[in-house]
Amino acid sequence: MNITSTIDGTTTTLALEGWLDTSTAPQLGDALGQVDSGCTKLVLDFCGLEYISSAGLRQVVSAHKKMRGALAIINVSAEVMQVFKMAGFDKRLDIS
Amino acid sequence: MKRRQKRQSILARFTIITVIALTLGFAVSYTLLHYYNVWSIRNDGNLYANYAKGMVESKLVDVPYDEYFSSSTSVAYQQLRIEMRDICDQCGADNLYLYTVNADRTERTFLFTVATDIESDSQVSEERGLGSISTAPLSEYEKQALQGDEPQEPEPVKNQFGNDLCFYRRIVLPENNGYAILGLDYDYNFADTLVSEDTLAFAVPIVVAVFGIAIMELVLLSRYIIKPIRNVSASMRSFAQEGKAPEEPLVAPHNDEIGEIVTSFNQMTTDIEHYVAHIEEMTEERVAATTELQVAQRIQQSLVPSVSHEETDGYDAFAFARTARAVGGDFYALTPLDDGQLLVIVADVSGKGVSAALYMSMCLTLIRRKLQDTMDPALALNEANDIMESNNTENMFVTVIAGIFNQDTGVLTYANAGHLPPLLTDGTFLDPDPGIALGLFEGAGIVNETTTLNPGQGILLYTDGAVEANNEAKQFFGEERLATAVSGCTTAEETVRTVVDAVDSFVAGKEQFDDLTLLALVAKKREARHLSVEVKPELASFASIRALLDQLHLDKPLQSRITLACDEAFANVANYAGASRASVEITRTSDRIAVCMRDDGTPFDPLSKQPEEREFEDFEFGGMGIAFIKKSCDDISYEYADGQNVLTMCFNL
Repeated sequence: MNITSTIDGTTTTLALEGWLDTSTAPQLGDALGQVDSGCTKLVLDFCGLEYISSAGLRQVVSAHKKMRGALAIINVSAEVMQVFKMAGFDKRLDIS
Repeated sequence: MKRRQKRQSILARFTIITVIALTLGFAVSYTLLHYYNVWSIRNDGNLYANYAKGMVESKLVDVPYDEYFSSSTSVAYQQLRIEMRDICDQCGADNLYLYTVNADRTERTFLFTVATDIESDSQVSEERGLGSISTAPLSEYEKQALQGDEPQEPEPVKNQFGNDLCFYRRIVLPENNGYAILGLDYDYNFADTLVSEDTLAFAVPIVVAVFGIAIMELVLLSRYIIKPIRNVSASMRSFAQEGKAPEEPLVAPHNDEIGEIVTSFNQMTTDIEHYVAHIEEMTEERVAATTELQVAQRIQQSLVPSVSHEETDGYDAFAFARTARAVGGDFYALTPLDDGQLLVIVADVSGKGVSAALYMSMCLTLIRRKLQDTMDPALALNEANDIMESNNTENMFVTVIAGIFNQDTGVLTYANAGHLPPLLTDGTFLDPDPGIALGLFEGAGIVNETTTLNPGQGILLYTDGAVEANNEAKQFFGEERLATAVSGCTTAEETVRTVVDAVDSFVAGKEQFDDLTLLALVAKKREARHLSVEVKPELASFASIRALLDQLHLDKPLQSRITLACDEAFANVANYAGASRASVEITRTSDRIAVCMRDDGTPFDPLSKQPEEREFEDFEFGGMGIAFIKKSCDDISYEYADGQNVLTMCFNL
């Protein structure tokens, strides 16, 4: 999986590409750890994300907590959205 | 064996005919002259006989009877003989004689006999002189003359004096001395002598003249006709043998009929030589073209074999191609891919013959390449279209159905570019988006269609050579007959062969102008399929499990569900079981997929643990995995057997 980080003022965007599964989830954890403390808004761009597992969802929840809700998830594919729905996260997260 | 005919010469024939004509002419003129002379002797003889009678009677009264005939030596008698010879000579006769006849007419007593010829005269003056007697009975001619009748016919007589014609006349002797007979002899042979003389005098010059003319004619004939004809004939022979016109054209000897023949011959040889050269040239060109066409045919057959058969445990496919000409514009592709899927293409290029074949080979290569690269029929056709359209100066186009059959799911994903609708083997036609033929417009907008073939169900792709095959009655084979033909066929080959046979018996030998291409694909009921992998129980090994799942070629939602379940289950094993080894075995049957995951770690039944109701934020620490597994699969079971945790997750197809 590839993660590309883009900073625009106080908004940080992490673009994910590939599979976010149990083995690759720690990479997202590392990326979240490196997000600057001055960041007021985090955007997760799932444009290139093909798959997400529960381990991936855990990292998303971690990010949500870290940013105190200032998290947006964009460009979610149908397959990934299915997993969000399965967990009921679609109601709690800002997903588009 | 043909008998060799003796060569005949016109000249020889002319010569023979001339000789025969001359001989016949000579013979006829000889005969005619002979009879003319005999006739004229008889005629003249009678006249001369009458004349002689008059002359003799008048002479006899000149001198007293006794003075004449007392002695043969008397002056008067001698004088009389001299005068008689004159008369004989005047009459042109040989002999002139006078004799009396006794009463019983058996005896002649000669008074005198003279002959024109001096030698003969002296002979006859002795043998038939005065007083000499001849004792033979009188002939009818003599008796007739003695009675006073003047016989018109002479008597032919043969005696020691020759072969004569004798004319008789009665003479009244003076001084009551009774009657005597005057005879006048003409030599019968004289007629022929006359003829010979006349012939020599008359016929010979004519014959010589005619002969001379004949020879001149023959010479002219030879020079002006025979020789030129022989020259032409020799030239013809050598022309026939060598097939080459003479280097020097024949010269027309004269501006006549033969000249025309020679001119015509020269023209003919030149023309024939020209034609032969032309024919040879054409033949060479044709041979070259045929050879090239045969090479093209072989190349095309290697691209599109006349039959192809591909079969796995998931499908049975058979394709057939028959070109109307040496090379054609139809093509198909029946290509099994490495992952077990099957690539199918059936297409028809506009036009016929070599141009269509050239375009076809480009289309086939391009579309198949695109399809293999993209694995998306609509995308492949759209991309191929844009390439074809960008350099299509001849406005060629191609109608295509291209598809990929997934033997694991039975799904045929296909795209239609203006081609004829596929036919299911139950006799129903599919109704895909018609699309548009490729190569004409940028952005063809071809879309994907899918149809699922249940085991035993088949589909037929075909070209217009099937539905537009026509018979002598100008009827088309048509879609109805096609649907009837495929109904009830079970294998792909049977389907194709049945259609080919139906088309062939329908057209009944009428020549067809469309290529015929058929491709049948029948899905088979798959036997259970097993895939398994043994892995180290660590997260990184999940890649191997993913690779195993990829081999199933599932559609995306199902693939995601199975992947999620396996991911979560394997994450538990890797993270918590403390196992030393793990394995995954996938069993695929026609209706479901079972994934069996084993590990030799701590016995743990994930199903026993009821998912807790938790706050969203608590999910940060996990606990979703088992819920995900349960939600993803249709059936799940756990057992601990042989020291292993065995978790079996089932997914319905």
